[in-house]
Amino acid sequence: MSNPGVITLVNASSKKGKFRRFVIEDNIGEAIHLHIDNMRIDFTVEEFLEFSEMTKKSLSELNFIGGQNIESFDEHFLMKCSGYLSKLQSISIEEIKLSSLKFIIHKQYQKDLTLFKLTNISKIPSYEFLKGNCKEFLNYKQYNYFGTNNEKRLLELVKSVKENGYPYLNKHILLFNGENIVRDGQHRAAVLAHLYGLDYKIKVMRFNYSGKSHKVNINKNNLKKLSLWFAKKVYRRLKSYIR
Amino acid sequence: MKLIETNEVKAIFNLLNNSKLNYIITWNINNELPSHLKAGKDIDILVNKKDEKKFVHFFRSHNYKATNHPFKYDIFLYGVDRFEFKYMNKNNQIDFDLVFQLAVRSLDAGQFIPLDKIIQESAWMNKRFEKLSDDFGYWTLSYEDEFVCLIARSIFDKREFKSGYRKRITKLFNLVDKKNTLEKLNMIFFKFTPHLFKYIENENYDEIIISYLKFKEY
Repeated sequence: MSNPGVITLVNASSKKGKFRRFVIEDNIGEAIHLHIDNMRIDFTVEEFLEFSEMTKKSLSELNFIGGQNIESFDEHFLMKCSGYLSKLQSISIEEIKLSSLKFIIHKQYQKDLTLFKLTNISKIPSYEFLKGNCKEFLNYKQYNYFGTNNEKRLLELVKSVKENGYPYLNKHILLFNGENIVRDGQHRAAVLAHLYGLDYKIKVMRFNYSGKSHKVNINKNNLKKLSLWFAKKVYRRLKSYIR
Repeated sequence: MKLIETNEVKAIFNLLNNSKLNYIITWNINNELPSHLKAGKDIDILVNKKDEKKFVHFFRSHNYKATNHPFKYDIFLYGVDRFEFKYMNKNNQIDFDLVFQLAVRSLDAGQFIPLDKIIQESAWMNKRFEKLSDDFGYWTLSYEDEFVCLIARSIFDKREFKSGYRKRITKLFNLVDKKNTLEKLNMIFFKFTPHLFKYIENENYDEIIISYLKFKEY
């Protein structure tokens, strides 16, 4: 039986990683599946939540984020940077002007072609939305947790910053090494800029890694995406000629 | 929007029925066939993959042209045959979408996923001829299979229960064998099935999708 009600909760598969396939799926009505390569573990929802709590507790005890509490970070961010965490040397907190920060956004050029772009805070879709330019942000593709959407998420954040200030629960905007590129906290930065202005100084947390694997190479990434997109176009065109 | 001439719809269906080709029109929501079909609206026609060439020949011999299907490059999983072409006729403006399995889009990334094999087999085994008038009729799904498919389509493809679907599902609810239908729904919705059935019995369509997504009792 194939279950169409499958939601991928996380996909941390990697050709270079220890596990080629690492996927957690919610098969609604059936089970939670944890796929690790060729192995599959089935959980009930209750079992999975217990397993998840246990994992979180174990990770906290391992103290792998430079003495910081795991609760201070977004799970999605931790997953995204998990490949570099073994190279983490120190974490520092510093002050920086919002206008000095850079942001990675994606820009759609064709229906099936989206490329990355490095920009400053006044050009990010969430900031533009707060300034009244709604169109782009509402359809902007981004990772959201279940039951929310771009607008709801941002407006809740505005409310939270107004009520709780920043950084709330030690959740800082995150940067890596000498780069001022925001790795987590784009929405928080947009809200702070909207509320206090572009030159407002904020506290950020900087992860200092050894090596270079954490570095962003926008051009290289875009070239890879563009080549793949172009190759697909050529392949499809050739296929239709052959038919 | 312009409606297609009833006689044109009847004519192509008469040809189809006389050809003895094995087909199923999966549903006829809002009684579009034969008199309320809008120009440019596709008719989904379920055929066996092994009969594809016969249908291609049928459509070509009746002035239909194959054009690329808009979902051609989508992802088709677990044995769903890719629907590559749709058949269009500029004269009568009646378009057909050839599909080979009863499939829905997964909640995940919208991949096409087949409904369970038992439902596929039942579709062909229990198909019925819907005779709407002396000069018009078509082969379609049994009430049970249609009921199951319309619910699955509303949840997975449409992500809402549209008015026409609600009316038809409510009507079918009184025509289906509850035990058999529950068994088929169970192959798609698993432990949510009894809850789903209750919602439909109470015609509480607004709550179905959100309660399905939030369901935790498994």
